[in-house]
Amino acid sequence: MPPAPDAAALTEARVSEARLLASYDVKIATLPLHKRAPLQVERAIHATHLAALRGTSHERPASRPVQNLPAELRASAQRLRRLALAAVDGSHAALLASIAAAHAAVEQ
Amino acid sequence: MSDLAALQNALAAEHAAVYGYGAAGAVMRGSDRDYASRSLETHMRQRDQLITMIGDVNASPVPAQPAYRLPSPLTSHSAARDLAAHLEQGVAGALWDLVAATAPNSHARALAIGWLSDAAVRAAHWGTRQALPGQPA
Repeated sequence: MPPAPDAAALTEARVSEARLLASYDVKIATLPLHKRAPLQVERAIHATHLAALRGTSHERPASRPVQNLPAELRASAQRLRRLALAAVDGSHAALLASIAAAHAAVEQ
Repeated sequence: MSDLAALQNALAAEHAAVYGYGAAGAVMRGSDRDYASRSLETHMRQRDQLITMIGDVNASPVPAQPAYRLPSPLTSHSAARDLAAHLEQGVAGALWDLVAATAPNSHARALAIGWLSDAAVRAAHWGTRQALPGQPA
C-alpha cells in the first residue's frame, strides 16, 4: 500500500512541534513562577499545533531541546513553508502554512 | 473550492482590507498610524497581484464594493486596532483557502503561504494571536 499523501511532511512537522514543546518546558522550568505566563501561552499554541497534526504530548523528539527559541521558531517557520508549498493534499498544505504563520507571529 | 474561486475570495478580502485600513488609519495616531499605512500599501499590492492573476486566466476580477459595513463603530484608537486585527483575520481566512486550493509548488500557493504568515504577524501586532491563523471556524 502506498504511503498516505504528505506523511513524511506531517511527521517532520510533528517532530518539530514536539521539539519546540520540549524546549519550552525546559525554558519555563528555569523561570520564576511570576514570569512563566507568556511562555506558557506560547507553549499552548504549539500544543495546539501538535494536536492539529494528530500528534500527542507524549511524543518526544529524538534530538535535544533547543536553547535559542527565537532562532528555532524562525527556522521551523521556513521548514513549514517549504513543506506547505510541496504538500500534495490542499488541507495539509493549508495546515502547514498556518502553523508556519503562527510561528512567524510568535517569533515577533 | 476551485483555485479561481479561492483567488476571487482572496481578492474580495483584500478589497475589504484596503477599505478598512483606510478607515482605521484615519483614526490612529503615532507609530500605529505608520504601521497601518504600511499595511494598507501591502494590501493594495496584494490586491493588484490578485487582479493580475485572475486576469491571466481570462476571468473578471471581483470588484470592490462601494463601502463595507464595519464590525463596530470606529470611535477610538482601540477600536481602530480591533478593526485592523479583524481585517487581517479575514484576509488570513481567505489565504488558508487559497493555499488549500492551489497546486503544489505553484506560484499562487507560494504567494499565499507568504501572505498568510505576513497577515498573522500583522494580526499579532494589533493584539490578536491565533494558534492556527486562517483556519475555518
